[in-house]
Amino acid sequence: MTNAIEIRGLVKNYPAFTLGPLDLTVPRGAIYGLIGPNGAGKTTAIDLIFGMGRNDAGTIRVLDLDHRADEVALKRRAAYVSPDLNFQVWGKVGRAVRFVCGFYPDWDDAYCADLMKAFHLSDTDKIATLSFGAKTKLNLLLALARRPQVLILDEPTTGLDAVSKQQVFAELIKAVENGERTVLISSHGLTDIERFADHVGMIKDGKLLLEGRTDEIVDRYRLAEFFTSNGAQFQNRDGLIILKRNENRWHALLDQKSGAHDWLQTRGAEQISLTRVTLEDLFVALAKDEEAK
Amino acid sequence: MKRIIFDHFRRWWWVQALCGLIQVMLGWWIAEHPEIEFEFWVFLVALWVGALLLNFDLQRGAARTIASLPLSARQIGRSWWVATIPIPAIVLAAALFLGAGMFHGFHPNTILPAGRLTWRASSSCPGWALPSLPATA
Repeated sequence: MTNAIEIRGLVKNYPAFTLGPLDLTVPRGAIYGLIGPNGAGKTTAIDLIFGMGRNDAGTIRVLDLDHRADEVALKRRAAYVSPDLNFQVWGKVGRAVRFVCGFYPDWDDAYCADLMKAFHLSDTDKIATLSFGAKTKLNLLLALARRPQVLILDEPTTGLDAVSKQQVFAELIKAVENGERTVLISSHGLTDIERFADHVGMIKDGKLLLEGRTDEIVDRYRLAEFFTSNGAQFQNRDGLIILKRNENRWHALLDQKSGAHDWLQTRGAEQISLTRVTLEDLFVALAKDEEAK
Repeated sequence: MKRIIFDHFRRWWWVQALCGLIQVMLGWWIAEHPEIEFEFWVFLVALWVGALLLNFDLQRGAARTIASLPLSARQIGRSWWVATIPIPAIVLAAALFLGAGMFHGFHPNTILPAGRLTWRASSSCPGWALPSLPATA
């Protein structure tokens, strides 16, 4: 088995939104960033992957387990972190830890204690009085201490300050450094994803726009700036997305594999300068292109 | 399943204990005033207290949190059903009988309204528990 998560033809219908058909592949040992705007379907997809909710079509396999038929086994081997998880019902941190640890035979008490120290949490802390960041850290602690093979994180850094974010990422990197664990992380923080994730999937309006290795994707696209003196007009085409035009000065996103660079030159584009894209540039451009369609 | 049930009672034992005490007192009062037919309302407390506590947990987001644990939706539903419907209803109804019985023990010349209480308990407890059972399937 080379893939930790395999999604094929996933569809989930809501009255005002349809997720999919979605194909998504998360290789084993990868840190996969699922990015998209609000309402793109990231949380819906993640919930379905973790067996929370029923899909209308398609298959989801996590560690070769079916997300519905093998729900319990899947939840034992995978962990889910989301700001929506609320352990306030258990009152204190220690009680929440004792309740959750009973469900996992592989629970690592020593690691749990280390994480408590690293996250500045204590058994006696009242969950209701914890800051938002501390609650997120508690969620992460409860997920990591069970040593899951797949870690599914839904917006784990939303609302965290820069220091807390670094702590969270540092612990995540530590948790996956031996390459045996797979992380699927959804986030709005594209800079974090670019730095942290080795694979990325972009989702918008329930559809996957792009998927692949982060470095390959970033290398494949370039921001192009060029001029025209012959009054040539350019429109979006395969491998070329026009971002902005200021009289005869053009800005575009260019797919280097598509041959769009040569095409521009043959159509009279001059002084084409290419700069490296960030995931954010790429995502904004692809999202605009999708909207234009 | 057992963990969810035990956890529910570990967190809410004091509410259940308080309700049990109140039920004992109400049982005593019903036996002391058999002319007043008050037991319907007292059984309502026994029937609803578990559901109210579950509702309180659900409002604080417990459903999603527990759904993320290695349990199937059916296991979670059944555990909550057992913890919040039959157990509190039976235990609190028993506390009511205990209160009434205690009054009768101290006042042996009175008539215990056992038939009335038994009829009310046997009609209302299963009447509440059974319709909610399919929801856990």
